[in-house]
Amino acid sequence: MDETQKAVQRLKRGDIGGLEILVARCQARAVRTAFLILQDEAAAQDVAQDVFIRIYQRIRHFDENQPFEPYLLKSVVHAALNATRGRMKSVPLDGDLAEIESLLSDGETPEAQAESNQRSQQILAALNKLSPRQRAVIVQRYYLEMSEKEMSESLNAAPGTVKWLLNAARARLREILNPERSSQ
Amino acid sequence: MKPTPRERLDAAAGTRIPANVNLYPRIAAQLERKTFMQTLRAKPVLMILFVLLALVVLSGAAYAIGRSLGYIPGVGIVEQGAPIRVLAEPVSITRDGITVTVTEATLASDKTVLTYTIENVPWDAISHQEDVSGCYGQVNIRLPNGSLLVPQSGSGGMDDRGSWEARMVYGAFSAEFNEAEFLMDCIRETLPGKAPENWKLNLHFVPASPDLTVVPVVEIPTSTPVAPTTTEFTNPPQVENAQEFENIYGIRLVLDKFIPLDDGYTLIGHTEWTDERVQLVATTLKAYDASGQELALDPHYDDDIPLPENGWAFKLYGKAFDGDVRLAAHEAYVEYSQPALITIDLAPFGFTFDDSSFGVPYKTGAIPLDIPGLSAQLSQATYIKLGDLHGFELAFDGDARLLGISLVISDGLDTSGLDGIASGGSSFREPKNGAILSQAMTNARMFFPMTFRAYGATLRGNWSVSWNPPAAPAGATPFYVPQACLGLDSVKQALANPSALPSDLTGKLLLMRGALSPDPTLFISNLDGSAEIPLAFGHGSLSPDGSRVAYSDENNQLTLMEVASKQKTILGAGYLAPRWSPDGAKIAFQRQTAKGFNIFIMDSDGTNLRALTDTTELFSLSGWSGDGQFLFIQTGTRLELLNVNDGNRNLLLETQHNPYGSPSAALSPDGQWLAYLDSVPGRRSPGLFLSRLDGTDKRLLVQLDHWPVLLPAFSPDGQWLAFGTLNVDIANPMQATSILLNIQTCQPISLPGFEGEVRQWLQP
Repeated sequence: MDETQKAVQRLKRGDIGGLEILVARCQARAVRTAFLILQDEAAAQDVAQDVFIRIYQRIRHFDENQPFEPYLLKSVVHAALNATRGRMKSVPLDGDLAEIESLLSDGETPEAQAESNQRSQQILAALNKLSPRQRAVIVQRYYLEMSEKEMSESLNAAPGTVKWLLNAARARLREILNPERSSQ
Repeated sequence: MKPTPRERLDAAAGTRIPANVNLYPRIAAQLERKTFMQTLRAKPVLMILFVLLALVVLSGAAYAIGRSLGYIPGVGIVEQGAPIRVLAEPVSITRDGITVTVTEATLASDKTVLTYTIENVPWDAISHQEDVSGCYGQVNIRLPNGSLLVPQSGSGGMDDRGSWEARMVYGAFSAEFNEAEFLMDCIRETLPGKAPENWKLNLHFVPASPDLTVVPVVEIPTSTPVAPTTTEFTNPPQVENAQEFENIYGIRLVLDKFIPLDDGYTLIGHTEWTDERVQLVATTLKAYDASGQELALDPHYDDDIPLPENGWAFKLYGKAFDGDVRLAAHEAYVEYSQPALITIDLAPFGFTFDDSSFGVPYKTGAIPLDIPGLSAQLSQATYIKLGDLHGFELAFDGDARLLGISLVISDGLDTSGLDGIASGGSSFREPKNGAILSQAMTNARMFFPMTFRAYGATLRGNWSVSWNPPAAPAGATPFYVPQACLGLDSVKQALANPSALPSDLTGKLLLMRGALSPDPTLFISNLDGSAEIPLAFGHGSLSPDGSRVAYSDENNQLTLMEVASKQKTILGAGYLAPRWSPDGAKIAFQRQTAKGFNIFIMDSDGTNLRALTDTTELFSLSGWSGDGQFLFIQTGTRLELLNVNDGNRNLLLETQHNPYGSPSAALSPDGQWLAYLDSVPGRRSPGLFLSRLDGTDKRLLVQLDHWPVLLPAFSPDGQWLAFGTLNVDIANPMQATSILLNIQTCQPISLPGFEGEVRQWLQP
């Protein structure tokens, strides 16, 4: 049993010390996941904070045989998407994913620090051009490394919708740049 | 090797979100375990399932200078005198048994607020997994000209019976329209195909009745910061000299507005500071009258009041005050825009990163930490462990105003091979020697030199603002914070100076302690701490004769164990909270069903299993009545008796406090009295109350300020109560401490050497 599972067990038993361990272990990825969708540091911290508290409140019903972190991060995606709904006026419509996918996948060699920094800025700018739902799809597919089947279950969307969200550019790019995943 | 897409996304997010972000202080504050910090964004989250972010935090119309403002509870701040329309009458539609009702609508000059409910949503239509999205359920309003209003903000939640209530805020719409359509594409959180979609209701609006209460929002032209003082508080902070209260960072409380309510006032203000090295200040306020008596003050939890920048809103109870009201903060949590760094290297002292080093303090010599405007020096470092996290506890000697220094490790970490980087830690001032102890932990390998970043600090001080309230209405009386029979100071004294057990006080206790499986959490002990027997890991209860324990283990398996022989019998899986009947013949418990954890009973040999409830409610099962005819249960805020013969339920009383499924009440052995946790105005931790079954003769027995009070247990003769508490003033309090309380005299007795909570108190 790993330490995260032990912490979940402690929490299920009412020992709040378990929550501190879970937060310590998972918070950075939780906040980054929310940030990639929300594009706002403070809102990302709020969303991650709320998800930790909601999970704490419902921990009794959590199946401790399933891994905790993927569950947490999928919950963060869900909560971050909900938090964007109130901002509908200010977000773009679904855009083209080709740019972001290209930024995530191209290049053949390790990057120098300056190049990496520049790419990070380009990735954030490209994400900013997408709708929150598309950002969530990118985060699920490439940050949480979920399969399309998992994504369609998590988003409660038909697999065809997920494919549509990922759009045709993704398949081609994936095939060129990540052939080992093209079977999924 | 080139970075993977995941690594690139992580690097991109990492440019804005550092790996050592630390949410825990905020989470702890939100869970009310620590009151020193109320985050600016803190909001009650219990059962709130969605909160939309407002597009505009500060309503321009609401704060326009020179405009007369009013407040409608549940609606918010509106323009005084401007025409207001409301929904002519609630409108409702039922499809497939699900009822959607628009209950209220208020159309003000700058916004439209709409409240709707959804009832009887089938349990199996809803996604019960946090990580599986149900339908979003967007509610829009369509005007007769075809234009669509989408919500700007909103909040709402679903209770455990599957009923929704939501309040949505839209833009204003033109006075020419008195009709509109409520459009909802699906029921929120439902799974595809499980509930009707495309709901439509016709709304009709009429001018509001002249009786509609719009209370004035009164601007406070100049609020008065108060000169430092050390004498006017019922619980003054420990002060070494007046210099301590010298204002730091130019922190100042400002009161902007007040709104008169029927039973008190809403006070709206903000915290400001002049020092640019500070980027956040969070405080928790208390209120005092001119004689120094503490008045009941609670955060204003509704989201109907837009706050100014760094703003806050509180409800002050009562309308009669002895002179001016003073709002005061005794502690403030600050975060720095330029964190201070401190580097340590223990290698020259012979330190090595192995288990033998845990807990051994190393004197570092005085190393200064450059916190803005305050002096602090590192004196000692101790290698510590929490689960698989490890790190250092740094001890600082510092300015008397410093109560804590928040640290993270910023350099000296080898994160190679780690999937994710963990970081955590907390800080407090050690009461015995006055050192500031700050913990910083990680899951990464560490190496020297290590650098720590001090990003925040908790400060002691005395920031206050004075308010001259309107004259009291005739007959009004002050509303002070209710005084408990037993308070925190008495408990601290009892813990510091344990008194002997009265000779006539005896019994056998079932104790529960924090541990990791497979270590036992359940123990039996005599009241004096003798004859301790470790039992098992799990939740459980002892048979009335103390010979057997029934418990639900880490896999929710219900297990019976003979205490003497430790022989076990597993009765089944998916069980929680077993409770023996007073005659030992039956066991009641919660069992997982398709709807949740329902209540069942069976004979103590595992036969005659019977369901007593079949609902989606979130129960906790506290125990049996002395005659074995009823189970004492809680669901939400309701304390009930459940008849074990016919399953009928009888409401005893409703509390303000919702423990969300954690047991927080006990029934006395004679079945005449209830001990239960309930909210206390002006206090964010619930208090322990005693009352008769119908709520009469109610007494506040225990309230420990910011320390929690845990589940009570009656003594066999009903004259004493055992309850647990946690010292949250220290870092990582792992074990609860139990206190015995004489119900008549409120005499507290700490159980020396005991760790853990008393779950059952039996005859010896």
